[in-house]
Amino acid sequence: MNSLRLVFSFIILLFLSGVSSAEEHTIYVGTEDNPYVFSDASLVISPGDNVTFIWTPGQPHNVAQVESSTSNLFVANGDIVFFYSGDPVDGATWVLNSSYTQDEGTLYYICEPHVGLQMRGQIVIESRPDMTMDFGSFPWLSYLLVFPVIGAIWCFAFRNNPEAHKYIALATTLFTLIISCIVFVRAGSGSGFRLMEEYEWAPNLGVSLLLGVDGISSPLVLLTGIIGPLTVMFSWHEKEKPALFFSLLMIMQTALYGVFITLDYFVFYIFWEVVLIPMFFLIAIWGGENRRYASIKFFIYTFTASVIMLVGFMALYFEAGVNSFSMIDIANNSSGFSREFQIWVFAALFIGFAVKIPSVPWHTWLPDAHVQAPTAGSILLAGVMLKMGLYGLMRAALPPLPIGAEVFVPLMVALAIISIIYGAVLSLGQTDLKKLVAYSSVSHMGVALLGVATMTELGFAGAVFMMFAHGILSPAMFMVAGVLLHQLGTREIPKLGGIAQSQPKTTGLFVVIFMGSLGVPGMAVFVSELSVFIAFFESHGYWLLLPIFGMVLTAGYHLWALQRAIFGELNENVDVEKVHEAPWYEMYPMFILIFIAAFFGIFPHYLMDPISVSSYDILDFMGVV
Amino acid sequence: MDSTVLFLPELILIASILAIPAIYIATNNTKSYSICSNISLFVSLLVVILFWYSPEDVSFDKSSSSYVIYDHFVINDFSQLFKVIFLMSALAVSVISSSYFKEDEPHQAEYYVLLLSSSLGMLITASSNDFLTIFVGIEISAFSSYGLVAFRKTDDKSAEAGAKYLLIGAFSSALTLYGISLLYALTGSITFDGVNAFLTGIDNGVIEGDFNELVFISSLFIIAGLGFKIAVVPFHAWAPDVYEGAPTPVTTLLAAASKAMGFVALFKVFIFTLEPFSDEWRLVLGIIALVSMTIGNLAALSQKDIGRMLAYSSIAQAGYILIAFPALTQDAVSGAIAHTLVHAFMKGGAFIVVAGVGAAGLGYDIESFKGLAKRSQLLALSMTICLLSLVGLPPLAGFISKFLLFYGVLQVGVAGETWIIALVVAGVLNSALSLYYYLNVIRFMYLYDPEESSDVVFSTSIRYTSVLVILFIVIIIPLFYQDLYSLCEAAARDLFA
Repeated sequence: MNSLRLVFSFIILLFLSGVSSAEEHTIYVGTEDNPYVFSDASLVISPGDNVTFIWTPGQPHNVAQVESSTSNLFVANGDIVFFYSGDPVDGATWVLNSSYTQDEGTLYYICEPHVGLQMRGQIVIESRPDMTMDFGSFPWLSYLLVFPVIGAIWCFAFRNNPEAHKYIALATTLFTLIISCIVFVRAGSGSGFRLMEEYEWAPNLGVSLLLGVDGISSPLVLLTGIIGPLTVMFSWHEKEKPALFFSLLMIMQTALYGVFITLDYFVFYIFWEVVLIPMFFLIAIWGGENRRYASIKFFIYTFTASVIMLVGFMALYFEAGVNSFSMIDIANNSSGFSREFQIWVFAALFIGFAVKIPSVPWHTWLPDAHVQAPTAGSILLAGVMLKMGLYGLMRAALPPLPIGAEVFVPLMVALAIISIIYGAVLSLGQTDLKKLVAYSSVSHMGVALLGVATMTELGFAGAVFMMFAHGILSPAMFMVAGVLLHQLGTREIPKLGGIAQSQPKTTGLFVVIFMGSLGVPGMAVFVSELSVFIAFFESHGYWLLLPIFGMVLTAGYHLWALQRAIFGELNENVDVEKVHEAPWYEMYPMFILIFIAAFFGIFPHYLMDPISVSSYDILDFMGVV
Repeated sequence: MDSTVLFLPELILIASILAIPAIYIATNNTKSYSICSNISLFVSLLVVILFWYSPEDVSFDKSSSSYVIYDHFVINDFSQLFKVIFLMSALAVSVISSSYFKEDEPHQAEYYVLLLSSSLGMLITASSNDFLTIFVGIEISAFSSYGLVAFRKTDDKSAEAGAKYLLIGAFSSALTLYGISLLYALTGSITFDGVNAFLTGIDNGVIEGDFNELVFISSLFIIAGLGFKIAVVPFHAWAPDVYEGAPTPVTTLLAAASKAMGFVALFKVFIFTLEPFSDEWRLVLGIIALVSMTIGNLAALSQKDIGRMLAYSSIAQAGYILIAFPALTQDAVSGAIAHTLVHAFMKGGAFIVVAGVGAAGLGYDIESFKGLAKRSQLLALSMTICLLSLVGLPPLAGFISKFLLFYGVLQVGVAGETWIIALVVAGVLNSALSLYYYLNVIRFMYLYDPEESSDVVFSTSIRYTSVLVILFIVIIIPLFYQDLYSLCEAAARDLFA
């Protein structure tokens, strides 16, 4: 127990320590040798960076912006507000915040008392470069792909040992979590792709294993890493073929990482489809009563959509004519795509992605799959797999097809709003907790789709943030359903009720999870909903009332379900003997998820910074901003 | 060196066809026939690969890439690639036959002779360079197959299948022959090069006259005749019955190698010989492709017998391959070659498992696969991989080859011929449709318990062969698919030369 606590606190520490937001620069006001200079006197930064001025003790200085390199007077008149550190002081620290460094250009500044000694400097703000590709020196991303597979094989090799497999699974997933954290931290919040790796596979066809992360994929990599150990912990006491179960979980994890980090259409498609196989078996072997129907429906539905997507990928490849399946190369050569071509190809890709999102009317596989899947499968499905659709839309469809996307915006908005309201209304009517969560996923992913459909930086950022937030909170919701199922053998709301007295601590967690999921300020979902709605208001005006109405319903079904299932009079169907506090292996995952959701709800900028930079990149590339 | 060495693979097979009867006289040990057949097929395979890769040993001029003997027999990348596939399939069939047939099964010597002569016919087809040779090759193979299909002559189904196959086979040969005779009458030549040169002459106005209708009619006859061989709608009705009735190793040979042989003939005749008159037959083959993939998949949905289901799936797969013919570019054809090759692995692999399950006495219904995973993890896994590969699920070999095929064809579509895009879209939608009946088998294998709990022993040779097939489908082909692509491209280049 204690060792487990240690490991988790270590991970949280690691998580907190290195996260970088916008890049930081430092200028020393005066040096040891010469107190009347700025060092560096001419600093080159990117837009949005922060600059910290640190006084070297000795002389009183200040920092004041001036109009030109020859001007000697600090003027703060007119519309332009110049920066000014205040009256001269000896020894201080002052931060030039990013609001001054948004636009390209040069900022000149002086030290007022010593301008006669030519104590002046300049900050040059240069535009971000085009889609930069930064090839990393260490293959972090390949490790993400390789380790879970090794873990899976290792786990399966110990299938006759009653205990080993779960420790192997936990160790592997924790290890990949650490790598995910490192990847997230190293990806930072700069523009362009980081940690890139390329391995040739079929150069004649232009296929290579091209890996890389940017601000959109790194949060999802982190999410996949976080969900991994939690699923293992939550199925700690799996009885039926546990080794195979954990192996499939880890193979699934590899495939999900693959989807999020490949930048090659061909390989992307491969990972996209490989995700289906372990999920099919997870539902089919460990699922509920109706698992045979649900697993086949799930497989056929998503496979059909994605083969159409494959035709779209091939069309993109031929039309770009660069003999490369690299997303970057194809996007760079997409300027010649005709309007008609863009519309057709975007339609093909949109079908593939919309089924995975899932957007109404292609959502019907989701409730079946969710209800029948084992809890760990549901967690992976809701937590990570549903994010593939929107991620694919933003990564694979939007950059090369801006006109097609523009044509589809009204459709996307309509589908998103219908998903939000329809999902919420159906959730109100559900009696099965898992089904309720499934429909609430449709509703939440509708919010994310709405964010993408606004075609603004804030909307995109809100959408990706929603993907992350939903990826944290919907697994937590499934855990609630899982805990109730383990204890009482049912998830039917009418058969529950009044169990709060017998398990106060667990109920506390349940309440926080439900609050977080309905969008209480301070939790991650709130941040994303707020950003999406602001962006939507800016782009579509008072149509915003429709999705807002959906939010009212969202609050309604969450609270109503909580009230019926947990609080109130003790239901006569409930066997009080069986109700007890959740065991540690269920309690801790829920607590960790709440912690993460709250953390990013309170400090959203750790995620928002990288996301918005990359969102801007995509929109900039599409020519929208 | 003497050029007879180029016939070495064929000569080895002929030698063992003669040797097996001699062994039959000498000993009653049934194992000895299969050993003789295995060895000869293996040596023949080795010789093909060896001469292909180090042609200087046989004074092969690699710069001219193909070696033609008296205009009738050609050895090039195309022929060698298919010879490898034919010999590998035949070898696999020969290996599993020895465990499929019990020791006391009568007429085993004849069985192996017929198997070898069927393979011999295929090799000749692959190397043929004129209509006569290709006809002789196909017939040698077909006549042996009739005997093989009806091999269990006391079994009604086997006999019925044999009779059906013989009648329809004879009919289709007659149609092909009539088409060939029309072409011969028109062009006065029997070689592919000669016919092609004449037709090109007409096409360019060098030779005067309007022969469009004549060429159209003769190509229809040839399509009908070869259409029976590859089993495409509407010439497919024999396939389910024959696949169901024949002993499973024979079905494996028909599904894996015979089908590929039909395609070899189709490639040689349409992609090369009749290419100048492609406008006459492109639409016909396009429609046949569309109809056979759709009908094949729809019919497969409701099958109860695994052999019939796989037969209909073969019909659908033939439909996919056929879409390369209307596209008629080197990329499309190399995709089609790749899919023909990989199809031999996938279908062969699936039938090997069927043979294993059948030989263990479990029967041939889809229901008999219930709980196979509990009886043999390996066979269940092998079947799953073959079936998922037939669907075209990445990263398996079936995906790679289907991708290459659709890739090549779509290229033509995007370049301007929009109706070809419809073929590709129909192809991918059909792949999704086919997922249902393949998944059904997988579902039976993994999600149900065996109906009887009795111990079932599966033959070792079938299990080892399965492992090899899995190895190819899961690892070798996907990993080296660049090489598969180059091989198929080289083969396609020979066709277009």
